[in-house]
Amino acid sequence: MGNRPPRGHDPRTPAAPGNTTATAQMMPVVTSDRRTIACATEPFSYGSEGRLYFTADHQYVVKLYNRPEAWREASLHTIIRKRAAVMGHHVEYWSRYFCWPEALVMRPSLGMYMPRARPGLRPLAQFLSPRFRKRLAAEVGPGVLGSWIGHVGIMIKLARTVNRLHNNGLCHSDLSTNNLLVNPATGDATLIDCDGLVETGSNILLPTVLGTPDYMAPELVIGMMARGVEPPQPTVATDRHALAVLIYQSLLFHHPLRGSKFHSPDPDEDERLMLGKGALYIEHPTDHSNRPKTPFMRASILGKQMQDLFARAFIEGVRHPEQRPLAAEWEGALVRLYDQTLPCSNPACEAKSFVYVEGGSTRCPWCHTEAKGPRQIPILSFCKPDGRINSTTYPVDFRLVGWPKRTLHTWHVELGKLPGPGVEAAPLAAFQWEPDPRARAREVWSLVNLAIPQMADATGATPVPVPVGRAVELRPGTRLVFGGGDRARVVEVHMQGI
Amino acid sequence: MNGLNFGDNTPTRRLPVYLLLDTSGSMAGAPIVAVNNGVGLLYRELMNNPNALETVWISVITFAQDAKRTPLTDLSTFTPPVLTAGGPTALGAALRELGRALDSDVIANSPDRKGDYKPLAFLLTDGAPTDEWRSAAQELKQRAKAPLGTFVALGCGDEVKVDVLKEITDQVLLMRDVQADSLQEFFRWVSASVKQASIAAPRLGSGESLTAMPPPPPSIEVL
Repeated sequence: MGNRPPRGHDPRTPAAPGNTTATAQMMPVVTSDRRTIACATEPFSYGSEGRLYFTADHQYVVKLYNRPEAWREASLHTIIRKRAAVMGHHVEYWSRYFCWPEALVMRPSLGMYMPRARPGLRPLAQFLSPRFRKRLAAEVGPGVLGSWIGHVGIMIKLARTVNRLHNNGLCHSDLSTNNLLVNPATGDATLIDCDGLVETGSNILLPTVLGTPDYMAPELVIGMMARGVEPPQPTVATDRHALAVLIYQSLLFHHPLRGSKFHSPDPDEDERLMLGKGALYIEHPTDHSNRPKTPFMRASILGKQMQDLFARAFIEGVRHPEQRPLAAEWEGALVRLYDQTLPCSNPACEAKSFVYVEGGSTRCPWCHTEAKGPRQIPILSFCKPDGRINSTTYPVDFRLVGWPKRTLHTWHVELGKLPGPGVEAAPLAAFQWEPDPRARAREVWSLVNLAIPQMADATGATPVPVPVGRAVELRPGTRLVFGGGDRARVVEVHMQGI
Repeated sequence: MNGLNFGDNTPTRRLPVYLLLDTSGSMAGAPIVAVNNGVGLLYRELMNNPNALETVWISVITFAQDAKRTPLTDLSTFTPPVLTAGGPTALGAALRELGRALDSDVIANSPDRKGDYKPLAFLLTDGAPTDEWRSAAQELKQRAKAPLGTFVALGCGDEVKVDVLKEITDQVLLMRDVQADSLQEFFRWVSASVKQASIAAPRLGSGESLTAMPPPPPSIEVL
C-alpha cells in the first residue's frame, strides 16, 4: 500500500522501560509541546497501526505507532493545527463528537496524544453483530442495546460530524463500524481514529490507509488492484460512500452490496469484485442478481426520502462518485426520519421503534405488532412559505408524525434549521393526547405552545393567536402558523387512523 | 419473532483458523502452560471483537506421538482445549491432518452459497520433526483446492529447525528465548492478526501476508 517499509526493516520500538511485573509502573512519554506525561506501561489495545495506552489520569490515550514513518510527523502536525478550524466557536460541542489529537508524542517513539472517548461508548460493530448483541444482553443487560431510534440518533451525529470534516476540506478516510463509538440507548456517538485524516487537494496529509474493505468506495477497491498506476486516494467522495454504507447497515442491519451474486470461485477475488468492479446494490430495482436469498429488511421501511438517497448512493453512486449524497443531505433526511417514528407497542421488541412511512402500515416491521394507543394520530406537514399571500397550498418541506409527548423544536418551527451547535434544543411545543376512557372516538389531540413567540391557529378565516402556555386542538384540516412575515411556517394537520 | 432481522447476508463467510501446536515432550512444564494460557488469551481477545465473533471458526491440531484435531468450531461454541505435553514431534502428521481438515472443512465459493475466506494457519513448534514431513509440506504449498491464505510458523528455542519451517512456509518467525511472556505476546499477536483478517479478510492489496499483519512483538524475529 505504498507507505509500508520494505521487508526486513525493523519498525519496532523499544519496549517500555522497567520490569514487566507491572506494579503501578508508569511509562513517561514526551510530547512535541515538551510535556512529560505518565502512561501505563501495558497497552490496553493492540491495533493494526499501533498500541494504545491510557495516561495515568485515564483522561487521555497515547497511541504509539508500530511503523513510525517520517511522513507521519508532518501529517500529524497538520491534523493538530486543523483542530481549531474544525472546532470553530463550538469547541465544547464538537469535542463530544471527535477524539481529536492534541499533541504529538516524540518519545519513547512517534505517537499521538488524544482525549479518551467518553465512558459508556462502544464500537458500533458490537451492535451490528447478532452474536455480540446476545453477549452484551446477557453480560451487561438488554438495556445496553438501546433501541432502533437510538441508531437513527447515532447516524445523525455521524452525518453531522462527517459534514463538519468535509466542510473543512478534510476526509476521515477510514469511517467504519470500529471507528465510531456509540451508545444506542442515548443516541450518542464519537468518531475516533482522527489521526488518519486526509486534507483534500493537498499533499500535506498523506493517506495512511485506504479504509476498511466493507466501507471502501468501489473506485478505491478497483484502484488498489490496478498495477502500475498511482494508488487511489481517499477523498470526500470516498468518505461519502462509507457514510452511506454505515447508515444503511446501522438502520437495516446488513451490508448494501453483500448479496448472493457469485463473482468468482476464489473467495478473495469474489470479495474484491463484490465491493469493487462488480458492486451491485442488493435492492437494485431491475438487476436482481445480488438479492439475498432469504428475506431481508429493505430501505422502503424508512420512507421515500431515505430510499431515494440510498438508491443514489448505491446505484448511480457506485460508478459515479459525484452522485453520492452529501453528508449534509443525510443529516437532513435522518433528522426528518427521527420525527416519523412510532414506538412499538410490543415490550419484547428489540427495535422498540419504527418509521411510520407515509401511506404505509402502523405495524412494526421488526416484530409485526400493531401500534397501540391513540385511535388517530396527527400527521403534520411542515410547508415552506412560497412568498404568495393567502396561498391555499404550499410546497411541503417535511412531515412529522405526532405522538403523545413528542415535542417540536427550533429545527421544526424555524426555516432552514437543523439541530446542532448554537441551535437551542429546548422544546418549543408539545403534543398532548387526552383519551376518553368511555369513548375512544372522543380522544382529543392538541399542541401546547411552550415557547413559540408567535403561534396562531389559522384554520378559520381569521387567525387566532395561541400564546405561550396555551394549547390548540388538532383536528383534520387544522392549519397552524409559526412566526410571521416572509419567514412564517405554515403547518397542515391531518388525522390518520391507526 | 422479536429480534432484529439481520437477514441472511450478515457475514455468512467463515474465516477458518487452524492452530498447529507442538505438544511433544520438550514442551512439558512451563512452555505447555504458557501455550494453554495463550490459546485462552486468543479465545478471549477474539470473543471481544465483533468482527471475529461473526466470522472466525477455530480448529486446534496438536502433535506429539501423532496428530490430533478438534473439529472446526465457531468461536462462540469453541472451548480452548487443555493441552498436555509428551512424546516425539510428529510434525508431518500434523501437516497431513491440516490438509485433511482443509479438504473437509472449507466451503468453496459457488453460485449457490458464499464460501469461506481463505484459512489462516499458525504453527508453533520447538523441535525437529520426528516423522516424514516434506511430502505433506509440499502438498500444502501446492494444493489447488482450499488453499491456505496465510501460514505462519513460529519456531521456539534453540532446537528448532528453521530450514524445515522455511520449507513449510515463507512466513517464519523465531523466538530464540522462550519465556512465558514471549509466548503470551505471540498469542496476542496471533489474535491481532486474526482480528485484522476478520475485518479485512479479502486482503485487497497485493497481499504479502506478513506485511498486512501487525508487526510481531520484539521478542520475535521475522526470518
